[in-house]
Amino acid sequence: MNSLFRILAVAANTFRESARHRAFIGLLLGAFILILSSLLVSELVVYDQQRRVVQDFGLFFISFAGVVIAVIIGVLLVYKELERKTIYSLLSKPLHRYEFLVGKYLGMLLVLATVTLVLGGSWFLVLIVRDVPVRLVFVKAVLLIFGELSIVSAVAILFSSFSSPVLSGIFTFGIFVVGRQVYFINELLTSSKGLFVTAPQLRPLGEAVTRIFPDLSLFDVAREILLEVEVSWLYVSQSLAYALCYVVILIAMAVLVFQRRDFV
Amino acid sequence: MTQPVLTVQELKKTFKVGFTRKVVEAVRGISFEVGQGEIFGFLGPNGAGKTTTIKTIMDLIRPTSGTVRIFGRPPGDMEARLKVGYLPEQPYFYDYLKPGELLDFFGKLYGLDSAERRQRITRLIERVGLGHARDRTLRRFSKGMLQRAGVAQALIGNPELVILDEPLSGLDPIGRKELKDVIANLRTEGKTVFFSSHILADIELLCDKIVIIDKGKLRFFGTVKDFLKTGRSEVEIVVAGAPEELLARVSSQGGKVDRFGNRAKLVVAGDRSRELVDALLAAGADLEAVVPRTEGLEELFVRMAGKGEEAAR
Repeated sequence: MNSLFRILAVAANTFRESARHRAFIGLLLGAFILILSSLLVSELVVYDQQRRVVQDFGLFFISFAGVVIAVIIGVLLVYKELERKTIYSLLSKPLHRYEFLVGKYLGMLLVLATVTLVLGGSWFLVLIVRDVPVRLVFVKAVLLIFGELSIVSAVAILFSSFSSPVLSGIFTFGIFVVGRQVYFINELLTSSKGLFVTAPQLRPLGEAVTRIFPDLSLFDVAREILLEVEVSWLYVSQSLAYALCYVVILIAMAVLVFQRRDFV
Repeated sequence: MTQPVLTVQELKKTFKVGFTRKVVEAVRGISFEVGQGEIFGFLGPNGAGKTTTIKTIMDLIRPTSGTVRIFGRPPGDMEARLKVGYLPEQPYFYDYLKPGELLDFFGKLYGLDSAERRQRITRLIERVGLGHARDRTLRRFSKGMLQRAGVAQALIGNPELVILDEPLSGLDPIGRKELKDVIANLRTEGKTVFFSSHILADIELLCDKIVIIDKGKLRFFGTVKDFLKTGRSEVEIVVAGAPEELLARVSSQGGKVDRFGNRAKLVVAGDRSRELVDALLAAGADLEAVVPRTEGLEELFVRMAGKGEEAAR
């Protein structure tokens, strides 16, 4: 119980730090403007395509801005504590190192939830302005984006527990890009033609990638929305459970690394 | 016998630095104990290994070998942590917070309820002299004000052991005086204070016991009184009309003689002063002053550090 209380205290402070940070507010505002700009883009296309443009662009921007914010905040979260030496006074309190890391992560999830909420809200606003009815599947799409961001931010925290922000940023973004391709790599592996047939020596690498990397395409339902295919709540909850599994593993690995560190 | 508040035994810490992973021995097997209610000074020149030792005590750094026990428990133990307050060297805190918010956050980590936190925060902010700055964020604090906020956060859990790393650095004379009062008051409250400092006059005044380390090795552990006893005792004699042959004898026997016309200032070892005074009086010289001089902590410390350097060469 006490442990949970301490984790929540760290999470609340992490959220407060972001909320009071000018760069974060600027980033959020930029993303908000980006989504509103889909209104302008939609003006450039013929009338019957306008609805599709605001639908696609909006979803893409939420995902894009969310990933950028998740990577930036994720890699800086622990690094800033070390760089500013605030970690000394914090870890000398009755606070386990794992509580610190889990609290930091939860605080970051709170920030990402706010980001998703603000960006999702602005997307719905744009949809309403363009006379597109806000369907339940749009809410599900935003929820899935949040699931994806939770994995991306956990990857960022894992790398930032032992690496510099720049390297952590590059690695995290790399994992995001590969994660989005896992579905296609899987398809290629089962296909009777293509890369793994022409270059069979790459097959073990492809299999390793699909086994280790998270399949982030699970969280992208833009195609289903476009084709007006139903996205069930079962699918959403299974995808979020999949995200939770990855998050638990990634944070546990980050804790293991963090536990052994000297704070010189 | 009561259990020591803090025990450090054969503590060693090595770091591997740089591309070549060169091994640097920061702390080389130091041992000491801090008893209940003591004000304990931790001395050493820059790079002696003081901060590394303190960070090991706080479990921020894991020792290469040796043990640290706080109230008989390992430093990472939650029961031990609840009883310790720590001020890091050059403290940095979340600069987007106001002092009350910082203390509130840290108070939550000690499991204090909101009423208790409120009460302690109000008292502590006044105690460290930050009452006028309670509505300012920490990014607008001067170095001295940050140091005060640092002391307040070290005390938020009402700790039995307070560990302060260079608490007096960066403070103006008034700030130093106020902080020394805070430390002295902690003693009257029965708390144990362990602090490192370069300002030796403060250590001499405040501390019961000291540890001196240099290049990671223990040089002295004991009471300030015992340490001062290891110093040289000299006597300064100012005299007029002393015979020249007597002055020459003092000089040839290792004493120091400064002449000012008819007068002279002599500095001799304490055990030889009585004999010299008798001889001067017998020769009809006019004694103007006889002043005993004892080597202070600072002089002794500099001499000890110098010896350490010579040994290293």
